[in-house]
Amino acid sequence: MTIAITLTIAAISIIGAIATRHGTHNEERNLLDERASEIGLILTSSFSTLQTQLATTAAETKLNGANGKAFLAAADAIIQPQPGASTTLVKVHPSASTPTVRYVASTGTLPTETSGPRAQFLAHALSVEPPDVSSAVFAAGRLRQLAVAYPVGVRDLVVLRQLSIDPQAAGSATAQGQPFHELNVALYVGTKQDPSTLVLTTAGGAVPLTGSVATSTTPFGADDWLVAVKPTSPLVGAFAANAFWLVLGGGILIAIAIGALVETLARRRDYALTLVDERTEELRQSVEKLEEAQDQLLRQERLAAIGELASAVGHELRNPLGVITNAHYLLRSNLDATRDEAASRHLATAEREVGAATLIVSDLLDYSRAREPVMTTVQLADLVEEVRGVIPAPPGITVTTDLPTPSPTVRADRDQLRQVLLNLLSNSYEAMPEGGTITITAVPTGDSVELSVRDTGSGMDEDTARRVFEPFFTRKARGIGLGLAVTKRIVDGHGGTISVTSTPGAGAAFTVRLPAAHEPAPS
Amino acid sequence: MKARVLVVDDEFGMRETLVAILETAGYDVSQAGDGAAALATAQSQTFDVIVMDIRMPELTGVEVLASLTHPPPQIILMTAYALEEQLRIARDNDAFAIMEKPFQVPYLLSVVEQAAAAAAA
Repeated sequence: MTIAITLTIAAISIIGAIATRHGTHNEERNLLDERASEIGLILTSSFSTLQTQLATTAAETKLNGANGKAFLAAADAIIQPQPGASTTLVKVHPSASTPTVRYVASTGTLPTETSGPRAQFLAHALSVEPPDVSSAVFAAGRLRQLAVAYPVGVRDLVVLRQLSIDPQAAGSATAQGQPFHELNVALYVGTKQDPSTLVLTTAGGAVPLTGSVATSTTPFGADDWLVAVKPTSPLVGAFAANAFWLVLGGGILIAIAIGALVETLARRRDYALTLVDERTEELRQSVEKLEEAQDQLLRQERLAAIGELASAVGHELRNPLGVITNAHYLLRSNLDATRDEAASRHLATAEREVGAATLIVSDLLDYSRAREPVMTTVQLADLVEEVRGVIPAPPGITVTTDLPTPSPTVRADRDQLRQVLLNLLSNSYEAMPEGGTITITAVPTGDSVELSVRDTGSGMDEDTARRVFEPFFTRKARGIGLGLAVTKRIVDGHGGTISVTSTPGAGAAFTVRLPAAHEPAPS
Repeated sequence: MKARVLVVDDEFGMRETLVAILETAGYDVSQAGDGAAALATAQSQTFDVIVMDIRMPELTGVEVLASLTHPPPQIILMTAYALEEQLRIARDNDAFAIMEKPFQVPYLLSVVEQAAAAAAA
């Protein structure tokens, strides 16, 4: 994007610069053409004034061959005498092929030649109709001779004005502040920039003028003279002339500056966006943690409320259960005497159900009555055997123990650990209504011991495995789902961990990891 | 000579079944329905063993235990919901046993028998 913006502005700058140069160039051209025309006009005006004066003088002096001297003196006064300049009155004998002339009188040395280029020029000058001034340049050694001929309108007489010129030195650049000071000028006799016809120049040896040159033809009598001008400095001014570079350079600088600015802003924006993303992520994580904590708090509060209720209900149920147990005992005593088998069977059912209710109440109270463990060193082999004796395996279930010798020992509250094993073992019994095998193992692993109870029962799915330690979570037809919650609470209280792995239909394995004991078990 | 047992419980069902069970077991059983009655009975008559609920209105089993002076009978306390503080006082006043409800009857009978033997000694 930055590059695109920079390139666009640069391209606009280049187009603007080119347009500026085009405009400047046109303006320069127009100005130059104007200057050339002005110079031409000034020359034309001077020339026509001169012609008029010469014609008037010729008429006033009643010019003829005899008073040529007097005419010339008058003419010279008009043309203004100059060093190296001469005015001559010439009689022309026109001839189609080789015209000849006779020099009548002169303000300088009277020439002697009667034919040649000058004679041809003079014959041509005489033939101009209507009579007018003719001009030519002749070589004269290193110098030139500017010849101007004017037929005075009397017989075949022509006034020849000759001026020795050094074109290189004929003029010099006009001083600063004067008209046309900014121009180099070359004046030619004829319509071409022919160095041999150069009359004067301000350009020194640099003729013909090349490059940005404007020309203007100006009539000098019957002939056209050429004025060529070339500016020594831009006519539109240095500033305008350099406008192209100014626009181009300025545009590119602005393009680079804007590009840099855009790049800086883009980077700042990217940085800001990155910051915003990071903060948003942090915020999201904080919110997640907060929600999690809140959920946990709510769950704990709910469990605490349920626990309190369960505890109160459990305690209230203990009295009636006790009364029923007592009543069953009395009934049993009487029935044994009467040998009423049906009644005895029904009473057994009632006794069994009261037993189940009593267990539920015990679970409830165990859960609501968290007790700090009293740690001792517990020998696992003894404890496992004791628990197996307390709840013998139902028919169809085989329990095997696989403990190393000597038995691993752990730091634990013996009664609470006994409760843990009882819960896990009875849990496994219930998971195998069809029978199966339970394997109890204890493996020392460094600073801890892993006690596992593995069954070949129905197992559980992932969701159940994840929630199995939650209080009041149960998938059993009986029970209120506190056994494993109590188990986990006890293990947590020991600084241990409990986990379950299971494959649905292929059994489950509960593993309790407890800190290993460093002291021997009390005998 | 039959050992004399006083059963104290504000719950009628519990009191009645306990009395029946202990009489069946061959004890000379009296009963009281609250703490004040138990205290009066225990001070006017002599018992070897008192089987008493802890949680009763007005005067609790523990308070009765603490108030009894001489001759001190063997006291078996029963509880469905005992506070730690009550259990500590019970132990400090040499309660013979504290039994959590519900309990199995044979267990109760064995404890009462031990208490009676201790009283006779």
